[in-house]
Amino acid sequence: MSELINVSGVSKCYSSKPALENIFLTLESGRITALLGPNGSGKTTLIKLLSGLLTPDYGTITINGLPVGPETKAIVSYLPDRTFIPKWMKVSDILDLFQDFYADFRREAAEGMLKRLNIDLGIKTKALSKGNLEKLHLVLVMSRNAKLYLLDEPIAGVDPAARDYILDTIITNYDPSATILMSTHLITDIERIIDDVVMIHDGRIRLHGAADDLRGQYGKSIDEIFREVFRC
Amino acid sequence: MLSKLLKYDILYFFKNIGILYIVYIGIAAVLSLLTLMSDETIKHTYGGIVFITFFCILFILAYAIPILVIADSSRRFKNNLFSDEGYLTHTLPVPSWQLILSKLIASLINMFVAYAAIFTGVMIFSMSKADRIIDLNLSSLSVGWQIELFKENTMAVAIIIACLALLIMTDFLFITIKATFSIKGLGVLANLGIFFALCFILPFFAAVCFGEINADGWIQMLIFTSGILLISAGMFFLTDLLIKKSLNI
Amino acid sequence: MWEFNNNKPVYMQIVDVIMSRISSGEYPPGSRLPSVRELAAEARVNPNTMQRALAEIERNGFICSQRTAGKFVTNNNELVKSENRKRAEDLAIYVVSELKKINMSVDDIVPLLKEHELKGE
Repeated sequence: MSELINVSGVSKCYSSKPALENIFLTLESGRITALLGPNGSGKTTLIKLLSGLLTPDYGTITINGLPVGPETKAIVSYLPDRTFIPKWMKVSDILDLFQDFYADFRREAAEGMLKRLNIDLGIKTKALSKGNLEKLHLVLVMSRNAKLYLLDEPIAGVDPAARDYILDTIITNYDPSATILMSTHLITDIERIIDDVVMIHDGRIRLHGAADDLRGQYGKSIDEIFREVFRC
Repeated sequence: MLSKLLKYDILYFFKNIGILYIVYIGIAAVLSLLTLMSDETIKHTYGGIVFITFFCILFILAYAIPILVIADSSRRFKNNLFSDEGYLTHTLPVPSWQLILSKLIASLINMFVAYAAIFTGVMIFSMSKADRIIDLNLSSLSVGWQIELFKENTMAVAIIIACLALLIMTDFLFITIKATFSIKGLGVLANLGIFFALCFILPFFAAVCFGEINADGWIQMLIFTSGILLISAGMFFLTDLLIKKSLNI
Repeated sequence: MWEFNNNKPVYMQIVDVIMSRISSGEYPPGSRLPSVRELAAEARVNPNTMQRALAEIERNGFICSQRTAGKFVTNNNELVKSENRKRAEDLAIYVVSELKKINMSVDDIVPLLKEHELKGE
């Protein structure tokens, strides 16, 4: 197990309000890590820093030993909490785009998943239902053979059946040499699939450990530990 | 990767505006055919009025199309880099300067194609017998004349392209500043204001150069073009810096 | 569907399920277990967690890995039998303590046990 992500002394402010303060975090490769915290705790900011959308005000971030930039973007697959596919594109267009820019994109796998979901490749994305659009985004992100998957609230605002589908897709496409960092509120749904837990609050890390170890130590579920740690 | 970015930027333009070019050429073709009607037909049908209407549409489109191209290139830049689509664009494994350059080149290509379409339409029209219906000196619209004009003034063409690049880069920088510093309220009006200001200033200087094709003029034009290109490069650098350091979507 | 209680380490609960499948003969001695990936997908857990559970079972000697061939249930029937005896004893302890709570004795429950054994299967 080698170190994949190294966040060192990172701070980020939004117009004088600190979103992250002096964060030190290392994540090993090959683990599924949950990033838990209340709204506004800095989860999305941390993920955006890792994906290269934001640059830290202080500190450094390396992924696989490289500073965040075009080279890390080639090995990181990011699922934001917004839809990012341009509305004028058809499904086949966005598949072409991913194939053009990402060497690790597995087109046949993506097309197979879309076929099973009954999503026609010729439709314009603006004609898709909200649920299908979200699934399309997930399919695109998980069809890449990335070293790091960043999933920002992948199951929020989605019905329970779709949630199961999303979690199953994550598990079945998961390559043990890859790393997943997933931020979420819905802890109970993900309890059984996570290896590690990072709890963040007010821009600082409160807890970081292996899920089963924490369960053994506290005798509680991660959901309950979270409620204790973040009691209002 | 730059060529791949270009592919998608150009694809976007053709899917959005491409149809206008075809409409333009289509109208010009229809118009030319109308002029082949005999005098009798024209008098008895409303051929004359229809003709004038289509001619006016053609005339208006010739001015509207370039404006639409600039507006669309602004929209593309803003949406692709600073809206939700930005989550896709900024996580592509390309350096940010390639994103800007690709859009600049695609806009210039788009302008070129737009003018080519307009000239084609005008050429089709000039081959017709329109002077039967409208008192129009068509010789000034003939394509032969236009080609001669450009042959004599290749430097002028280079200047026009440089000025276009400056215009587009100013637009891009303005959009970037608005987005990274979350300036609201300036919006479309300020954007258009800058656009029209540049539209009047630059052609003025280009017209000045038109009249100066002599030995001294060459040096003047070279200095002018270099100045334009330097300013554009400065804006490019500034835009890239803002995107790298202060992106906030 | 594998049912999990999130209050206990998940991997330990997986160990319980697989051990009971070995005990019951659902995974017969010497048979090849499904792959880690298949089991993880069936249980709907992280393959790492499944791997950890299997490693624990292997450490206790109930399965062994053969490089390319996969994981196999032990042929050591004695081991399985002694594990079953341990489980039966755990059950017995549990039943006796529950009976105490409702003030009944083992003799009271033996006919009930026999009746249900005949019905069941």
